[in-house]
Amino acid sequence: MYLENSLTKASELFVFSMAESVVDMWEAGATELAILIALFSGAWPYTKQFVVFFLWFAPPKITSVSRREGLLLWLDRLGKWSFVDIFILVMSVPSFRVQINSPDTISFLPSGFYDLNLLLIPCWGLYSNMIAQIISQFNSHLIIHYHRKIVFDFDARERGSNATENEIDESDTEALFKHKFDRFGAKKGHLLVLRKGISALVVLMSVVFATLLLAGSIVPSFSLSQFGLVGLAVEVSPDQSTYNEHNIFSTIKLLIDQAKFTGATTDAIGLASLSTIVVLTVIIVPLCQLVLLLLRWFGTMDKKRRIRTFVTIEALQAWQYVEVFVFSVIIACWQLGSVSEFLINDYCGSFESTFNSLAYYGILKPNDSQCFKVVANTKDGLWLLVAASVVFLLLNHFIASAAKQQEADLANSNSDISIQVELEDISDLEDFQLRTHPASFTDYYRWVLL
Amino acid sequence: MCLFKIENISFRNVLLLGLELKNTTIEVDALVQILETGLFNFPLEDMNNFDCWLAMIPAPAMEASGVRAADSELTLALRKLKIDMESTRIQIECLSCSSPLFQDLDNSLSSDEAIADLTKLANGAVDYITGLLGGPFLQAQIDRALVDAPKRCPHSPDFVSVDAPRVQYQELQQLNESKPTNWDFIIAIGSVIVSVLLIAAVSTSIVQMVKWKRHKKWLGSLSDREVMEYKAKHLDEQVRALRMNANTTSMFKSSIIPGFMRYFIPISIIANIGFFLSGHISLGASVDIEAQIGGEAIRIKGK
Repeated sequence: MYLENSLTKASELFVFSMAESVVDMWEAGATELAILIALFSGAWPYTKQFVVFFLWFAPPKITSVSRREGLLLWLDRLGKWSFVDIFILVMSVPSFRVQINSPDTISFLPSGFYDLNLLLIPCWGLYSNMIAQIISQFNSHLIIHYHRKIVFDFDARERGSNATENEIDESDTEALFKHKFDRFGAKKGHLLVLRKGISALVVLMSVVFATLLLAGSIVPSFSLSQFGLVGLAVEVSPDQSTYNEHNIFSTIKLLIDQAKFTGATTDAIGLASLSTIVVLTVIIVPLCQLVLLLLRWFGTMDKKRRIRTFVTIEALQAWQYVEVFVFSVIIACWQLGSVSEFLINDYCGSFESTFNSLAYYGILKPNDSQCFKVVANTKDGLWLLVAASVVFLLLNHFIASAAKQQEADLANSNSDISIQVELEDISDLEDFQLRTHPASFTDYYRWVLL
Repeated sequence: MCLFKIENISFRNVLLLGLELKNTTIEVDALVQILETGLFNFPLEDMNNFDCWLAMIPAPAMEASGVRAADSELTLALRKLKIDMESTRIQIECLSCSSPLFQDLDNSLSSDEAIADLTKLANGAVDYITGLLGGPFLQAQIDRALVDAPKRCPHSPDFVSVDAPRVQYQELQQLNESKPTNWDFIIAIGSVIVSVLLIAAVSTSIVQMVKWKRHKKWLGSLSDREVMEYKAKHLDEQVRALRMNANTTSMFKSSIIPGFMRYFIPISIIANIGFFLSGHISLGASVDIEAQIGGEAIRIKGK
């Protein structure tokens, strides 16, 4: 018997680049994933970059200052959705991790006679994409900061030209939960205060959110089942299973173990950064944002501190990716099966007829009559993260809109100038169309106010 | 871009294999229907032609996929096939082995424990294979051979040639319907997300609508002068916005922003587009295979 390698045909096996993968996915029938990745990771980041570039150079005659602010804020809020493909790739690491070892229980095979490890190794494409996302987010914060500086400077100049205008109020204001909220229109001046127990509700929601987030990180949020000939080989390996459940921490552990396994410095740096980003954005940043929201709710702050808190919360909101992670897990569970089939089974095309016959005659189960397939499914942890996202969305909206209205109330009370309208001006104002103020805290949450 | 680096796989193992089976019994129980006329008219010259022996057995009706039709009778079938081995031993002699563990393989296979394990494994494997042979897989091969046999038997009325091509059947379709689908959870989770978004959108719309109606009602209750004063206040806000637009420049030209940053930000945006392009065109990930067979490492690495 003559045993020799014949692996030269492996020269183009199993490589992913986003551009090629989208085309491959489309051709293989995973059209939904192809469209989603092309939109979230293809079209969207470039759109954001080009719009920001345009806004940087556009004079206010073309894009008004208020429109520029609106656009910059929207781009900042939606920027995180470009991370979807990075999270999907993070999930693909455990999906493609296969370990086949020779059984210890068979005495006629020398110990460790064979073993095979299949590893999905993130490459420069992924890291370059990740670096670009991070730079894009930082740029976004920087541009918003400078935009606000321009507005602030204009207001300061306006105030300078009007000696009767007030200076920045440096004194502490009462805590947000004690604030008396004013209203617009007929009921202006009829101040509203929070009902009893609302602060307790805020605390309760915070505890619920933190619990759901931590539980969702510990409880498995997705499961992976490996099928095909590779799956059968895994089944006969000692201490290996074709069915594995993963939570955020176990996924991170797998990334770190993989870095240790390959021993390459590039993998160690890359996978460690990827793990850090996942833990930071999905667990730590949301918890930090929660702490700041509670500080804003209960704390007594002067204007400077309020502005700082507002800016920090806004920045943290752009960096908290719980909902992006949830969305990525859903997409991965939905499409990973088709992706694994077309990526690897493509190379087993010549065996298709044999596999079909083996499945038809019941020799192999239909799912095993192929080279390799991964089926991902959601687990309870994902539902906990979905619930955490919803609770946090409500809490964030509640406190942020209350804070916004407090700022508006304070600004109105500080600059309450009565406008005298001369009789001859009246005809000029007749055609002036009034617009309704956007809904504020007292409109959304009237039922929590007395 | 997608080149592969194949490392350390120049292994070469030349082995001499031997199989020793002791006291092996084979039991076969078969059903065979033979045409009487075929048997009595069997010419001796075709004794060595296996197709002629098969041609004595009536061929079943076949479906297009090469499986016996459901209403067709079985004419040749294996009812039972049992192979029992008392002892199995594989002998391996390494003539020229680069993999170190292949050298030890013969020693491992010679021990009594290894022989017992191998016999157990071989019997298990044979049981599995004979189980399959008694099933539809072998039956389909037998039925196909029966259909082809008359064309290849010289004394058969249907004879074409001794090497007549075998009947080609349609490919069997994979049983996709039994594969698990995860549509249930997609629908469930999709419903939750759509519900949350819908509730948020409806609540916001209702709040805005109520606010707009109240506002309109309030404006209606004001005197003309009060309306004008209110309008003047709003106009003042708009005038402030217009003044700001007129008295400020683009961010690039703004003197409020340090000169370095005015150039740095657009450069960083362009560099970032470069990063995105590089990220999308370059290799995002590769599947590496690290294997070891017989103590020799094989590494197929995406580059």
